Amino acid sequence: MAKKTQTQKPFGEETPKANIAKASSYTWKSFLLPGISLFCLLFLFFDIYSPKVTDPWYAGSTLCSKANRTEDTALRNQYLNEGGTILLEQNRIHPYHARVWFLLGYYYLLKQDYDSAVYCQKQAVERGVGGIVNEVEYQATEMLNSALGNQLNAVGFSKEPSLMLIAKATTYNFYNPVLEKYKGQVYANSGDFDLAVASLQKFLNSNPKDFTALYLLAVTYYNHGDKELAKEFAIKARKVNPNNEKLNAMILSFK
Amino acid sequence: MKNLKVLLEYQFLFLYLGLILGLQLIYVNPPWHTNDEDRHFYNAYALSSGQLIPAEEKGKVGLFMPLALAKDVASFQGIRFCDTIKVKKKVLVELRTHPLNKHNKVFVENASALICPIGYLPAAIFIKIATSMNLSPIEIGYWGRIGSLFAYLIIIFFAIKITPYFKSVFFLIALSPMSLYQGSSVTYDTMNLALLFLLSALTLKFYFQKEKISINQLLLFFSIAFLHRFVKDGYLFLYLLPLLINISKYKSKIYFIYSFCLFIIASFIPSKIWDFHLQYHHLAGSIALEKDFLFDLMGNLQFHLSSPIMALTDISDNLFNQSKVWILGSVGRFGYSYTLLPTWFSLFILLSFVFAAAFEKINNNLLRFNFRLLIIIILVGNILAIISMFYLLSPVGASMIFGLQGRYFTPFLPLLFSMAFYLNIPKKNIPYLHVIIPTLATITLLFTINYLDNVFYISR
Repeated sequence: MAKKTQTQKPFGEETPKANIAKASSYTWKSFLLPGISLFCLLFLFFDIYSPKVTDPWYAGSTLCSKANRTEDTALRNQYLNEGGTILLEQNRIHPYHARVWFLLGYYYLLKQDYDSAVYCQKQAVERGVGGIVNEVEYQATEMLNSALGNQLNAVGFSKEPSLMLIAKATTYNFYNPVLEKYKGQVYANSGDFDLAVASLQKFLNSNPKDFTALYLLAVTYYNHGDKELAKEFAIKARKVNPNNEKLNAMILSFK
Repeated sequence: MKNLKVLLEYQFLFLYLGLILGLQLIYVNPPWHTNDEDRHFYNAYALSSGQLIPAEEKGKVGLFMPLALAKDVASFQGIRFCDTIKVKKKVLVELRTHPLNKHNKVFVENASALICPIGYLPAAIFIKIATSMNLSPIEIGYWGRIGSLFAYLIIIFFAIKITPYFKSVFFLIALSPMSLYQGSSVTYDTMNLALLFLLSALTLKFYFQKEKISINQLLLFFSIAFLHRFVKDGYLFLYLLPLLINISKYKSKIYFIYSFCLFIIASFIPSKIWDFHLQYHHLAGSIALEKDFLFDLMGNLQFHLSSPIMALTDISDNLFNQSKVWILGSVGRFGYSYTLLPTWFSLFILLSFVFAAAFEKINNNLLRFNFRLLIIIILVGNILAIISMFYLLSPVGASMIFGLQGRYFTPFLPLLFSMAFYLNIPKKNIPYLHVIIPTLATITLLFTINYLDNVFYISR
């Protein structure tokens, strides 16, 4: 009997009678939790205090982008130096992040230090390749090609130094067809007809509508005396860019 | 008359509204559009076809899927919904004519294939039925969602039935846009939400019941926790809830110790079993989706331990910086397009939860302040643990927390709102409360369905 009474007793230290008495009144405690909770909910919901959070490497790249948009040379250099300092430090701490290599490469590209830009983008590609989302390798390859193009222009596409630069820019785990185009350009320049055609054809397999490659191939065939093929590629190039004067002049010469 | 009254109780109202509006949500949500639904769907399909061990090809983990299915799933990925980019309804009609050709299979890379498939069981049963009826891939996708919805409705029905108080809070939150959206998708989050709501309801039952907590009740609670642990990680603190109830509520002190032992078993054994299964089959680790950054939990921990104050500042800054998105995400942020409900509408939904919790009437003032405070501390502790875990799961050295979404916090909402906003003052019965609450839920869902229809579809 005593046991039964014990189990029927509601949980809590107070007796039911005391509880009923308490229910008819309220204290500050009644409003404490709902009050604090409502304050917190609305405080967070309305963004009353919202500190800025940026990953340190993006702080560096933001400064570089700002430099890129600034016309004042002194200010531009200042932003670029500040951004570069941050990115170099981040790259030293986190050499395993492909994205940080990419951002550092971007800094060097803006600084027109193309050797370093190519090196950094190559590191970005080799570390970043294989991801399913946020694939850094494509953007990095694009920047690598841009930097390499500048390097090749600087050496006038002369054979030995150009091939060395291209070899240095080659990524072992990611196929970069633009390197074939550059090779084609180098070989065409040096008069290595077969090698030039092979490289340009290889590039055109993956980029059949690239004007520069089509035009270059037409010129290469033309210089080699194969006017039929030169005409074929010149017409293909004209379809991509009908307003190129040099090309149009070449096509006219066939008639 | 009495029977009719029973049929109008919250748990039954939940079933009716959940079924009608949940089915609408299934069809208004573009196929395989819920976050990670493509990968979860592959897992559910694999389970339905008896593929219990993931496959491996060229060092990558994945599953063998019918080619037609993989093609249709892929066609709905990466759609950046905006005013000019929407799904044409006629495309969906056309897709229904696609044959499955279930024997023409291809290997589909899927890092999520290593997830334990128990959470996909309801969807897998319905996928199996749909496959045996030779339905098209898109219809199989919808059937999977229907299976998930049924499981969600049944489990939450019992959660609302079991909880002695705050039924209206459970009802509103279980029918909130985010919960029902998850509940009507092929994802392990369906079972995750439903089982955690059930654990929350059981905790309230234990607390309020006149009788002492029996061993059977403890076994039931921890069996559900055990099952839940197979479904999803990250909610261990919720298994602690029965231990917050005063020890005098247990039949004897030894039951409290049993409770603790069961907590340990439920928390750690399931993941060990699954890890053992994966190791036994020598499967390669999952492949990171991202490789532009290095994600390394231990490396990140080591990095942040070198400057712990900085790490704490980062976490607190993220909390204040991203909390709005997380709060909005816990009530309505949909799919891969991360479509948010209008801010004012999300606030309306949150205030409806506050209203339901504040005006709950508890007989004899049995809900004690200390218990409420303890529950809030545990829930907030679990939320902070999830935030900290995601901080460590972000790229090594990153300040910004990466990948954390508000929907991860939805399972905490019923208990959090009940304990935080319950107003312990003398209350009179609010007239028509039993009508107001279901009306709020209906309005919320009808608005959401109409809103999503406008965001995702174009009639032409």
